[in-house]
Formats: sequence, C-alpha cells, structure tokens
Amino acid sequence: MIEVKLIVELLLIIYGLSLVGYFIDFIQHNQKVNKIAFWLLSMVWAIQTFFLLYQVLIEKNFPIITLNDSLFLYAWVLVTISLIINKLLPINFIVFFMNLFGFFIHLLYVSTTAQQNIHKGGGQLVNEILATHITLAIVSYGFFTVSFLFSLMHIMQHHFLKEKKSFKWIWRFGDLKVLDTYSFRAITIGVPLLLIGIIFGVVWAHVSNSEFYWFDIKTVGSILVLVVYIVYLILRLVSGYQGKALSIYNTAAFLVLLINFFLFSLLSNFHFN
Amino acid sequence: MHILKVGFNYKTAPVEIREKLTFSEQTLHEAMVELKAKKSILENVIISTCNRTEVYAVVDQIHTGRYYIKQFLADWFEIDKEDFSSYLRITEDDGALEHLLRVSTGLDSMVLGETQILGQVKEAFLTSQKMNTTGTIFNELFKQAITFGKRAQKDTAIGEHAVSVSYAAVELAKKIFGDLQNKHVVILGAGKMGELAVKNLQGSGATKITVVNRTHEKAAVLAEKFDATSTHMDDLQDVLKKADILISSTGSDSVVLTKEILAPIQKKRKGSPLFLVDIAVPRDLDPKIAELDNVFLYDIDDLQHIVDENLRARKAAAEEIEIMLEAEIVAFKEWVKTLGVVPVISALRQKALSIQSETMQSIERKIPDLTARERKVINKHTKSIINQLLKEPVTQAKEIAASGRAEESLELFVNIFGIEEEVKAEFEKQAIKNDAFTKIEKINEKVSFQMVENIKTT
Repeated sequence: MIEVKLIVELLLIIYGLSLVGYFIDFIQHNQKVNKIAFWLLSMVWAIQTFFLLYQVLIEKNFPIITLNDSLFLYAWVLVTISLIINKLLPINFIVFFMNLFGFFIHLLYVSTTAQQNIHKGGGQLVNEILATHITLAIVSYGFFTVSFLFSLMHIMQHHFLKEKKSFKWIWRFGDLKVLDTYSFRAITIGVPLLLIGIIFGVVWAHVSNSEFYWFDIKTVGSILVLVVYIVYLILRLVSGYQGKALSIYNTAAFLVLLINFFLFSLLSNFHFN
Repeated sequence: MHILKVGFNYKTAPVEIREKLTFSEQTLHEAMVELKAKKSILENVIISTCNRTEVYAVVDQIHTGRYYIKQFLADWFEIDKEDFSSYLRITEDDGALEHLLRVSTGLDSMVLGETQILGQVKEAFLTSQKMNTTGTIFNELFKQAITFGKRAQKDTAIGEHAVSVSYAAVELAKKIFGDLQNKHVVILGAGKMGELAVKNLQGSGATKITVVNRTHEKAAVLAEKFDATSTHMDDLQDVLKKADILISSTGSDSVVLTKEILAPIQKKRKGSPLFLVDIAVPRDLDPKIAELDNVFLYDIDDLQHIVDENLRARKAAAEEIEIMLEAEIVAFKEWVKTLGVVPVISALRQKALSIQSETMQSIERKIPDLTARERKVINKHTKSIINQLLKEPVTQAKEIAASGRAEESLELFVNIFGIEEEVKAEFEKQAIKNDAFTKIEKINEKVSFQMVENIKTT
C-alpha cells in the first residue's frame, strides 16, 4: 500500500509539473519548456497505462464498473489524447486546457479512491491533499510577492529616470524593462501553481466531507486572487500592455492577495477549525 | 640598477610631436629588441598609444640609461634629440613605479579611469616578453601593475559609467531597455550630430535604425551609409508608434514634437517605454513631453549633468586608488629587496649539499660493502640533517632581506657561513640565466647588495 501511495503521489507531482510547463509554454511560447512538459506528461501516461494494464490483464477487471473506475479511465483517455494532439497538431492552447481538466479528474479519482479506503490509510492521503493545497497556494503567493517587489522596483526606477536626479540609484537598480519582464515571469509561474492549489482545495473539500461553502469568504478570496492575476496576464498578453500602469495594477493585485491572506483567514472558519 | 621611465604623453607633448614619435604596432617588437641591444639597458618595455609613448627600462646607471634611451628615440624616429627632448618627461625608480601604476589604472589617462589603457599595457608587456626584452624585475613589476589595474577596476568605481555625452545616452538607453539589440532607433535630422548618434548606437548593438528628415534625399544618403531605412518627416508619427529610441538633432528653430502630438501615440504604445534624446539647441522636443508615463526625455543639459556626476564619482574612486597605489609600491620594493637573498640561499644550499655528497663518498670509501639500500638510507638521513639544520637560517635570511638593514645583515650572514665564493658564482649563474644582468660588468662580493640598495633609492 505504501509503495502504491508513493507512486500515486509521484504521479501527481509529475502531472502538476507538466501542467506548470504547459502553462508557461501557453504564456511565453517556449518550445523548450513545451518539450519538457511533453516528456513529463509522457511519464504520467506511462504510469497510468501501467496501472490500467495491470487492472485489465492481472486483475481481469476493465475499469468501467464504478464511477470511480471510470474517472481513472477518463483521466487516462484525456492524457492520451492531449499527448497525441501535442505531437500531431500545432494547437498548444487545447493541450493546456485538456491537461488542466485531466489533472482535476485524475486528482478526483485519486482522492475518491483514498476516501473509499479511508480505513486502509487513505485518510492520510486526504490530509495530504489538504496540505498540498495550502502549500501550493503559499508557494504561489511567494511568487506573487517576488513579482510585486519587481513591480515596485519598476515604479521606483521609472520615477528615478523621470526625475533625472538620483543617478546613483538609477545605475544600481535593475534595467527598467528587465524589472517589468521579471515581474511578469514570476506571475507566469505563480498563476498555474495557485490554479493547481485551488484544484487540490476543491477536490479535498469534495472528499473530506467537511462543510464546504462555495460562498465562503476564503474560497471566494482565493479565486478572486487567481482572477486578479489572470486579468494581469490577459492585460499583458492579449491587450499588450506593459510598463508603469501594469506595475501599478500588479501592486494593487498584491494588496488583494494580502487582504485574502490575512483578513479573510480571520473571517473564514475553514481548514483547521 | 635602476628603473627609468622616459617618454611623453598628451599632457607634455602636443599632438604634432606625439604623432611623429609613435611606434607602429608592426614595428614595436623590433624597437624593443633594438633598444635592448643598447648599452646600459638591461630590460625594457615600450608602451605606445595615441596619447602616450613611454619607454620603461631597467638600467645599470641612471645617466647612461637616460642618454641611451634618448639616443635610441632619436635614431629610431630619425629626429634630432633637441627637437623632442623638451617634451620628454623622465622619472626614476619610485617615480617610474608610481607612473606605471597610475597609467595602468587609468589615472594618467585623458579620460580619467578609462580601461582601454590597461589592455594596451598588457599587450606591450606580452610583446616584450615574447621578444625576451624583460627579465626578473619587469616580469614582476608589469605583472603586478596589470593585476593592480584589474583590481582597481573591480574594487572601485573608477571605470564605471559613461563620461561622455554620447555614452551617457547609450547607458541610459540600456538602463531603460536592458539591451539595445532589436531596439528600433529613430534619428530625427540628418546632420552631423545625427550621424554621430547612429555610429554610437550601432556600436552598442542597435541594428534597426530609421533616419527621418525634412528632405528625404538627405535622410536617404545618411541611411545608406549605415545600412538603415529612411523616411520623410510626415511619417514621423507612424514611425514613433513602433520606435524605442528617438534621437533628435534637427536645425529647426521651433519645437518639432509636442506633447499633444505624442500623447495619443504613446497611448497606442500601451506602456512600451520610449526614450527621447534631444541633442539639438534650440530644443526639438517639447519639455512637457516628459510628463507622459513611460516616456523618458533627456536633453543635452541632462546628459551633461550625468557626465559631470559620473566624473565626480570617478575622481572619488581615483583618490581611493591613490592610497592602494602606495601600498603597491611598498610591496614591489619589498619584493626587490628579497631579490638579493635568492642567490645567498641557493649558495648556502649548494654548499651544504656538496658537503653532504663529499661525506657520502667518504663513507662509501670506508665501508665499501654497503648494500644499495643501506646507501640509500644513509644518503637520505644525511640530507635530512642538512635540511633540518638549514631550515631556520633560510627563513631568517628571507626575513633579514625584507628588513631595514638588509645589506649589512646579509653580509654578516654570508660571512658566518663562509659562502662568499658560492654567492658570487650564483649571481653569475643568475645573470646568465636572466640575460638582463649580463651587462653588469664587475661583479664583486658587494654587487648583489648594492643592487638591492640602489633600487631602494630614497
């Protein structure tokens, strides 16, 4: 059971990394990252296929009997198709969204299985899902903080360059455009992490039988943070904005994050209460 | 033995003289070899750039050294000595050391703290090494000077930041865009200033350049020169939508670009930074433009202000280097002092080893049936006795050499061990090896210590 749990967790980590890779490729059109993400996803597929064959050939059980079994098959099919699309069709966006969905389904399968086997140690996995959810969210907050600091430096450097006075600082601060780019990149990493974190949260809420409110201020807050940063990416990528205005937006976004982190935690009775 | 610097630079000689007395890169190595063949010159390195021609030499006597270097310059350039003698600046020993260190750190350069000179010093030294015109002294001195130059650049702000208006503009552009590759540069006005600006930016990596001018023909001519595109003034607004840097230097009497024109363009640029440099007088660009977000407008005075500030920073760094420089001079002189001890130590070792080998022969004669192993053991142990016995004296000799009364103490040391002959032999050996010392004609017991003494030159 322990080994199986280890493999299941490893699978989730690889799948998550692949998802982050596809997101970065989606944002930056980075062929190298795409290649890495593809190989990670291939590993996921290989492990899933192994489990599937094991069930079919050894246990003589084609996994469509229960809802849970079909979830597994469903996830496997999604991974398979997205691999084929990635290889054959030059439509990258669909691969990312398929994987996002596939990851959700797979996680749902894993946690539901764990819930059913709660007496055999599955409960631990459910708790781990919660821990992962919180960890991922906090790590993403870390990246958002870095991004915020870059934006802040960008605003300051913009100010210095306009003032034409503090040249001592101008030379020492980073290059204006580079600060802007780094701030953007940090968000590019933060958003998929938070997204996966929220997926973990939803799945955990589903399987832990805890009272879960979609309208809980914490849930809404986290989703709000995600939306705020997705809007940043849209402004940047779709509308093509950059520079000072976007740095100010990013600073405001960080404020939303802080409010969610501190204030909403006080108001919500979630997680460990 | 003395170190001499004979030469002139932009401070002492006008360009008419400098251009006549510059060694060409192709013949520099020949010059060094020829100078070395002159009497009295033991080692030499010639540094020749557009701003300075300087001969550094190790000579046995100052007056003959001065004479032969001057003579060499006159012969080489085929000019009468009188014609250039008044421009020459000659410094000796400490002064020459200090000058070399100042040159390699850029303190003596026309543009304070420029770093190119260090490369030129290094180049000259490498050439001289290749031509075998350096010896013990210059091999150490130039290595030290080059290392010091590098350290000064690294540890202080001497070479940081531009001290010319055009480089200040390039540096600012880099601060805004990170690098200039793939940046679109627009030159407004096809005059001389515009041309200079294009040259500078191309040198810094900008490839996409558009020349805009009132008369399109002029723009086309300039554009062709630099492999750029050209367009008419009416298209300026279109061009600006995609531009990153605009350099304006038209001869216009009135403002060419106003805030009202630029504001809607900047809005369409969606926050993409725009760097405007106005080097025209009267100004081409409305100062109010600076109020727009993500637009950075610098006029000629702003750039000059940056240059002034950077120069101030360089001067402050130069003062730091002056202090470091003194320490370098002291360190070099300490090293020179220890030079005299090297032959003494090897003579002592030589003597001890010969005693040991005589002893070994005597043992072998008296006990002929020693096995090979026994012989080896005895040999090893007798050597060990010598080494242990000499360890402390050798250390002490080194200390003495670096101390104040090196000459007398070392003499006493030599007397105690009775190695006068061996030391003399060692000096001769070293002189042959270095080649540089071959011209010391009379070697007496005291010569080694005199050398040490002389270089101290108060």
